[in-house]
Amino acid sequence: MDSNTTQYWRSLGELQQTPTFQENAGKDLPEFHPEDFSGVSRRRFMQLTGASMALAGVSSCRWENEKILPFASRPANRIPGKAVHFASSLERGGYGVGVSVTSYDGRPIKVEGNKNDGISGGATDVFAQASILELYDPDRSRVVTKDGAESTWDAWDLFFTGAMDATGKRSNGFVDGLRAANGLGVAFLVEATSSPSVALIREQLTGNFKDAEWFEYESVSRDNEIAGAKLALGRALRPQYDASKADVIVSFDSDFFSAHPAQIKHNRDWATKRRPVNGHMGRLYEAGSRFGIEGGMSDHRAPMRSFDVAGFIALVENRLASEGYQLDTAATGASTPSDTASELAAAIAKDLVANRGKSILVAGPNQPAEVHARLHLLNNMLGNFGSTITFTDEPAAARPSHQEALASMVASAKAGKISTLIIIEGNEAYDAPADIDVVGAIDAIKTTVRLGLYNNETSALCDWHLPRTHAFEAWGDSIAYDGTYLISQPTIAPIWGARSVIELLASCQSSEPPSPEMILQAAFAGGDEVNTQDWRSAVHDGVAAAKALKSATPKISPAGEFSPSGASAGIEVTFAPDSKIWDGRHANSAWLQELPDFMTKLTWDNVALMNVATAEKLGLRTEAEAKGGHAIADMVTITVGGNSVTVPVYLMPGQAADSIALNLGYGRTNAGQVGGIQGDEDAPVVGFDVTPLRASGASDMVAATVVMASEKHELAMTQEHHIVDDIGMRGTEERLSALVRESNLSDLHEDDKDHFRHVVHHPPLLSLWTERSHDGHAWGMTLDLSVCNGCNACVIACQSENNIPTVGKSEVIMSREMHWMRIDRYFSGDLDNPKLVTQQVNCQQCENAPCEQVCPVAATTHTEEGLNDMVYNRCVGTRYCANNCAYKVRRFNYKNFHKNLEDENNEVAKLALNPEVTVRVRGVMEKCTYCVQRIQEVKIDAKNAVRPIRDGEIVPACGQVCPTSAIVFGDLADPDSQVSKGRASARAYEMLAELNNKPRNSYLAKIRNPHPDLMHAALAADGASASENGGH
Amino acid sequence: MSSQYDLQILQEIEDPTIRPKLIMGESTTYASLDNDVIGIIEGFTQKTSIVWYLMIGATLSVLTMLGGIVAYLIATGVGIWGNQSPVFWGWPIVNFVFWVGIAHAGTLISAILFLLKQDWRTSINRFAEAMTIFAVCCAGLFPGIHVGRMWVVYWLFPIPNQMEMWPNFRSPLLWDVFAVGTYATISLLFWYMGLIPDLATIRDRATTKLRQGLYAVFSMGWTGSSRHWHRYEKAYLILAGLATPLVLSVHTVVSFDFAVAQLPGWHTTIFPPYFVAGAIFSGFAMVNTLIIPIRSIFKLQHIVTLRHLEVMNKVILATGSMVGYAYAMEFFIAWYSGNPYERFVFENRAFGNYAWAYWTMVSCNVIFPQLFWIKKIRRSVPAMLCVCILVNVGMWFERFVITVSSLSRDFLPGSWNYFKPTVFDYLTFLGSFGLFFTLFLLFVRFLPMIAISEVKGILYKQNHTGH
Repeated sequence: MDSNTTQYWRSLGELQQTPTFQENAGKDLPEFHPEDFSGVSRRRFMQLTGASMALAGVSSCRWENEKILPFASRPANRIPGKAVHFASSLERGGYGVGVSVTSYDGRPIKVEGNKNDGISGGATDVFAQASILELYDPDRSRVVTKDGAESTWDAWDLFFTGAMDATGKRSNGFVDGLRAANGLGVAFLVEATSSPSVALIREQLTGNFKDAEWFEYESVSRDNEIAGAKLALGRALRPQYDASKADVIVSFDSDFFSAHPAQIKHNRDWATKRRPVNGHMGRLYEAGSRFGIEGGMSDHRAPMRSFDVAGFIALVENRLASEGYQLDTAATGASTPSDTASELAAAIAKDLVANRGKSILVAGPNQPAEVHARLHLLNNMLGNFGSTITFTDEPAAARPSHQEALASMVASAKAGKISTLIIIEGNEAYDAPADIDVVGAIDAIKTTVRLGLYNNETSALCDWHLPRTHAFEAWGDSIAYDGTYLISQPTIAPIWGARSVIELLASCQSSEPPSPEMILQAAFAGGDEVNTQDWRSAVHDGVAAAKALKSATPKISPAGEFSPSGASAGIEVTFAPDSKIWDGRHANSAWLQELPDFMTKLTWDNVALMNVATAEKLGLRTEAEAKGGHAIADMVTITVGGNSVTVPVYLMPGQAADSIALNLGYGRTNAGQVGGIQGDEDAPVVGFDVTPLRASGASDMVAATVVMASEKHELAMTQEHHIVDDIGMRGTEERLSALVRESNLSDLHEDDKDHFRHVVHHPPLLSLWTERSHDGHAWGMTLDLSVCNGCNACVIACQSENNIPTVGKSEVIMSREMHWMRIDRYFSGDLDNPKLVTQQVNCQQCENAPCEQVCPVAATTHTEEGLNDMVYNRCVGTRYCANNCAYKVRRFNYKNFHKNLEDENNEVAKLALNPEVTVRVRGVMEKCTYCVQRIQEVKIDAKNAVRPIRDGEIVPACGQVCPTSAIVFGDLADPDSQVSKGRASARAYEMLAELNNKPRNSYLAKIRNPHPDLMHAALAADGASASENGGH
Repeated sequence: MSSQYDLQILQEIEDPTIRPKLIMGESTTYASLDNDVIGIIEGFTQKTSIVWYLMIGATLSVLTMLGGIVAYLIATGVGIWGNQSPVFWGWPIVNFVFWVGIAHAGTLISAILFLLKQDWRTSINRFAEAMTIFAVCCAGLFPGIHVGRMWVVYWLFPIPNQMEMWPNFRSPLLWDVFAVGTYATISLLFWYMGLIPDLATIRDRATTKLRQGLYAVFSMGWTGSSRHWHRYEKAYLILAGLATPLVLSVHTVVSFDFAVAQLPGWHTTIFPPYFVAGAIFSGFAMVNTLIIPIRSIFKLQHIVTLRHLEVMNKVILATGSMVGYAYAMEFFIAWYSGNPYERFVFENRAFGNYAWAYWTMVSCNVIFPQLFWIKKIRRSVPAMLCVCILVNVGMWFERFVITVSSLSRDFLPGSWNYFKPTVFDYLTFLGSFGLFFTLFLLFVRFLPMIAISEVKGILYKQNHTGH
């Protein structure tokens, strides 16, 4: 998005001056009746969206239903059918991320990153992409419930704040009693939030709620990191990594590029180091149990149990010492692992010394505080502080750890010290550690209230459930990981008449609370007078630059003992948030459930990941299930501390031996129609709940006993639907180097422009006829294999932009998933420590398209600009095109996959559809169009302005969200465009070019940067590498 | 199943001094021929009618089920079958090619053998032509219902329309529409024209008004005058000349559906001759499979003799060997081409996850027909029935192997998948047999199974030459 074309809502004041607004301002919000929604007339729809549009700029002005009419005269800056973009933000686990919401006629339909936000920088992750579906999720709670029965906000207000009589006098409500008691016996259990307004209200609550208690709980936390920083730096500081300055990154079991709250920034920064420039690029090492994004992108990796990582760090430290870099107290207890690991440690140490001040050592949240502390000391010793690593204050420094907080809440409740519990979001009944009896505690409390987006497992236990607004429906603010102060404005009226956290908390504080916007402003001003100009620009930008967290200087503690005890041998289990549904909060998102996991390509399930050796040890099948075609997994029963769960097994190459990885978030019993409801046949529970294995106090790596179970479970994967036999394996290996071309940095000759094109030898490609000439634009794309980390954001972005349906588990098993953009994942080399290659595959827009020739009704044809167009309403559905597509990027609507939208209850989900893109009917073929609607939009704008289209002005949905800019789109007819340069670069090649299809997509070969000392290992492990087959 | 006539032939054939007659039976005259063939229609005896009613009851039930499935299909979508990505074409197309292949025998027997003056064809040509028409009906069903939006399938025809759009003449599927359409038309005309003299005979013998009237309409005023015969034979010759290239063209064009695509395993120049040979192979096997029980039920062993069956078996042996050669040549070319994708597809076919289908195909199509080198087997009715049924199974598998195994593992391993049919795949295929046999039983009941007028010609020749 170019800032010139991004149409943020620049003039809130202007909007507020419109006659329509002035007429309506100050009146109440329309009551929203869901039943009004079914069979909505076009008129009613316009009313609704018109209302939300106006509301977008004005805070909590609620007006009469009947007064809202379509605009008789169009307000300034509003063109019907033209998208507007609003800055907003989303928060997860106490870390905000800035987004920009695309809204059509008052209806948000797409989320992009906010360029002003330091983390996002214009890119997003899958969660942000899927938030649109969440906004329109029909399963979101719509009504207040009291003891499980439907109730109303009026009933709640009557109960909580009291009633107003005719004279305007308010009778006492429940909250008045609480205030009178100074909040004694009141507890707030909230999800982690960095919201300055919530902090402000909390501060104000210390007035008449001074005895109330406040507990913050998240099932996935970074508390170990905070504790580690406290140990090493004197106080809890938040490390800010700048990977763009690093030449070496060593990841010790970390989530630096995956689950880290700043992963988008890390990926963006590191991508600049992964594109070889003048023979130079960064190098990534990884040591850890899970084979994830970090391991997949690494140049060298040593799989090891998470338990053994500390010992490996000690080993690296010893090697550093022998290079002359030593902490005050030397580490002891270095593990004596395999030769490869010890060679790796030596190479890492050598590299770190050679790149002093230009490296990052980082550990994951599962690793204990001591490990984090030690890495801080090592980073400091290596001179990384101040260059690759800086610090800001840690907003969460003062709070107890999440587990401590929850445990003490439960203890208080059980001791009868809590009589009123107000829960805000979170799902403790589902995700609390096994030994913290949240259910019992809630039972023990007299009055329990929960405000939440969904009426979930925890709400079911509470007396009151109150629907919470979605982030896009309300005013909100948060702090990003890097300290950016984020503000989000509402972009649509609350669809189900919900209230925000700020509204609920403010109603505790006062019976006539200020509007949320006022609270936000007050928090923003921080006690000073609100500067309207500053406020407006902050709302517009979504970011208040001046309010960012201050940078801090660490006070390095002297190095103490570091002697990893070398955890006992045996099998460990590690827990991590799921790459798709996190801790379960996104379980009801069909987009995310059906998103193939980056490594496993698994949808609609979670599994126990283990390597083949471990599986053999447990007596599991490692051979393919009989040629039935479906992936039927064995199951294992895992026992930790007396609690057992039975989970299907997934054999994961590269997973450390004796380490089993489990993902959180599955097995929700009251998630919704998508995520599952216990006992509802139409909504089966998705996956397996592994939280019973987690215990408070224990970290997310624990020793476990594992035995084979008798059950079997069918898995739905989008790759290797069946387990591949020997011939298939061999065939894959043979062709991989031709499909996914790669080489080592030392073999790359940046002046040899056709090096990678020559990997495959073929006769000259001739044509029988004169080729089409392209006088105008020639759209093309480059996809960079070197920087793609497989994060999946492009897949969901494409789904959201192009109205791609989800098909459900049974249809994924039938291999009928509809994603236009997919990421093929291949392993190469050693089974225990393989290399990973990912390849984004969308329509290659062949100039000589095989699909076009075979369509009997000419439903797929070529445009002047070289797009391979799909004419949906001409398509008969012979599927011949898909058979003839070498890349298998075409997707067929075997059934009516939008059928769920016909259900009256699901009407609201239709609002998530992009009006610019046709919704395909059953029986037609579909595929990537290079986001032709975006091309057209820019073309029209440029034509109206009588100017040429600027390079980079058109960005397809996949390219826009990519944190590493791995996807570049543009005009090949323009030799100066980024895409032309990419196509002409030394790394470019076209996949299957030998078929003479003339694809418009170019791939940029993957370049690895192995350490010279480890080259022999790299070669040995990489039999199928293109660098060997490349020849010249 | 072996009758006295079969035993007689078995003796005569070993004696070099005797040339077995094409039409057997000492007492066979023109009148007895009429009685034997038309008698089936006229004097539908209690016994045969019970069997017939039971059989048509069964086939109609299956046909009704097919109707139900098609209705469900139209309501739900082609997703009821096992088709998926990357196997976008599954059983429906396999069945289509299977039925088109079977449809080959009729025209070959009636047209090419007519031009080659092979007299033995007369006993079976009517029957084979009828089979052709019905097989084309079954074949035509599948492309129509396998598309995603059946209700606009007419867009494949070059009909003037408000969109002012022609179909895409570059698409082999469109060629298919024309090839199969032409073939069906010519076959139907050819068959019907051949029927006219016999229909007139039925009309002349008819005792009821209804029968008289109906057959009079369909015999189009045939009187049997020499002028009629003169024109009839001219027209028959012209149609035979027209139909002959079609025998080769239709399956050649069907093979283009595959050969023109760039998919490894499909993209090969051997397909046209290979498909034609395979089609004749399967068509002849189907004729034998059907005629063996029919001739024994309706006591036609003296007209459709063991000698006919043996000649058919020789053709099966010849075409089966051609098919076997094609299989071998495909492998050779895959290796010789040096194309890694092509090489992989064939290796995968024979030893990969579809090896079971491949070896079923090879044993049914290549190995078992070789048994026909042995006289005893070639002349044993039960043995040849078994082989012919196996050939039909094998030819279905051939199309399955070509279509499904090639698609399931194409270029990008990330998209590979294993095809698994659903219950609807089985039922739709079964349903097409319901359609075929319903039509067939109606044919047996209402039309002369043997081309009486042509057989009479043979009988004349037989009685007036040699002995």
